Amino acid sequence: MPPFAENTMATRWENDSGIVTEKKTGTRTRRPPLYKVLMHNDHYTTREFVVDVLHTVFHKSEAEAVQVMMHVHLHGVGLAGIYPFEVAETKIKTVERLSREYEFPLQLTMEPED
Amino acid sequence: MPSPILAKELQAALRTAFDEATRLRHEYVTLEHLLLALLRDPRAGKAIRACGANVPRLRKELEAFLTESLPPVPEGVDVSPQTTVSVERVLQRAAIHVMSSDQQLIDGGSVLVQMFKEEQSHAVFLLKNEGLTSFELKQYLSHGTVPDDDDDDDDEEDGPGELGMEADDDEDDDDEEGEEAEARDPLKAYTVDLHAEAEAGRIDPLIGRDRRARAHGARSCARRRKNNPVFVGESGVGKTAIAEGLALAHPAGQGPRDAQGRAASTPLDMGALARWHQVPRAVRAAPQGRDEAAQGAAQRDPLHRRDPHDRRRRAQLQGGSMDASQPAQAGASRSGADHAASGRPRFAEYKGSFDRDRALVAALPEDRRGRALRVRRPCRSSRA
Repeated sequence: MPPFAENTMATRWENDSGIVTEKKTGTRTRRPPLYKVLMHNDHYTTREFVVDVLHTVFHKSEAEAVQVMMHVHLHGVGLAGIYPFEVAETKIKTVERLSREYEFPLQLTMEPED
Repeated sequence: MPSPILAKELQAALRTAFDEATRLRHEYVTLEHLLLALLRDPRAGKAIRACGANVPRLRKELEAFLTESLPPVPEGVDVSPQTTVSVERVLQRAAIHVMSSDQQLIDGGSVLVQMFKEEQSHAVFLLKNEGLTSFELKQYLSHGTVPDDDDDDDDEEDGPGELGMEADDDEDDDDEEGEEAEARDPLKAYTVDLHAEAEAGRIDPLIGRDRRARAHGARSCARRRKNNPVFVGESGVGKTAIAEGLALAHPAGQGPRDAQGRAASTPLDMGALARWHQVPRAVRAAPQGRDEAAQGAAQRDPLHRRDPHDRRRRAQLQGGSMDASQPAQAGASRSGADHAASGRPRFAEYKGSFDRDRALVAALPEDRRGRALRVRRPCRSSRA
């Protein structure tokens, strides 16, 4: 039998078979995104405190911390870091506790990274 | 109300999670650390396995996440990991749940269930990816059964207490079950490798059916196409016997060759596949693995011997729920399975069902598709 004969057969079979295979996990779950932790500017929190937070909680180097702080100062928001959800959440909680202790209204938010 | 206490195993798991975080220089103990530790927890680990997750793969993925997505704290900073708020929430919910349901002990299982509510967590994502649902998990933890797991109809009676059970089971089902629990390779789970059986000396010699076996089996195997004989016939005419006889006569790799010189190999007793197949919803929720495995096998093994009719033994195992006298009722989704005592012409049923299972047919390459072979009762003269 010429080789193409088998090919046409195979194609025919595949096309008219009309099989629908339903996967067991009906909806494939999507990989959860990472989250950006954003720092918002305000008029009360001191620069030193912000740099300190960036250093201790977000493990930025001194220079990076100053850079981020300046970005927040000039543009209103700045990126403190990108983390999985629970890490982002925990860091925000940690900063909230710290700023409450020192009575600074420093605010952090998180949003999914795209 | 006495406050609940952490089960010893759970305490150990938490310690492991902390140790792991410390080892990796992570500043937080995340749900992923916790889940990784819970895989070794007797109750949680068993539940995850019973719900169909591939534990080694899950472990690998968790470890990959921990090393890739969680940066270690810089050198020079002290590492004393703290639990994340998610972990705290999970533990708190588990405690509240245990208290409100009048239990005394928080164990790995209850923690696992609560973990599912942390939807943003990568740990939960990985669990779901393994096919776990919180419903299945709760069902298993409460009743020791897995609700939807179609391939597990034998496991239904198994409590959470015994994965290594089946002391009284039929011997070859032993292997089957054990392997299913371990690897869940569909081929292993639903078929019996007759070559392996022959090698293990579990097959009796075929007497008085040589001609039949040659005509039916060996010759079809040697065909260029449609070289997968599928035996159909009344119950008791010797379909299994012929398949087994072929396996015995042609050890692996020495079988009759087909026109392309491929050795016919591994005859498979597909009784279990047929049985699994009889549950209509099982067909709809066909595990993806099946087709892939069938395909893989088809490539390796030109000869799939389906003998879907080996069921008496299995029927007994299942408390007779699949008794051969049960009339055919599962309808279209029955494969070429046992249509035994329904008194209908079985060949027609084979045509009407096994052949129609297009998913199965399409999984096999064109030249490997089945060839129905009718087995008849041996006539008087050929009976030895």
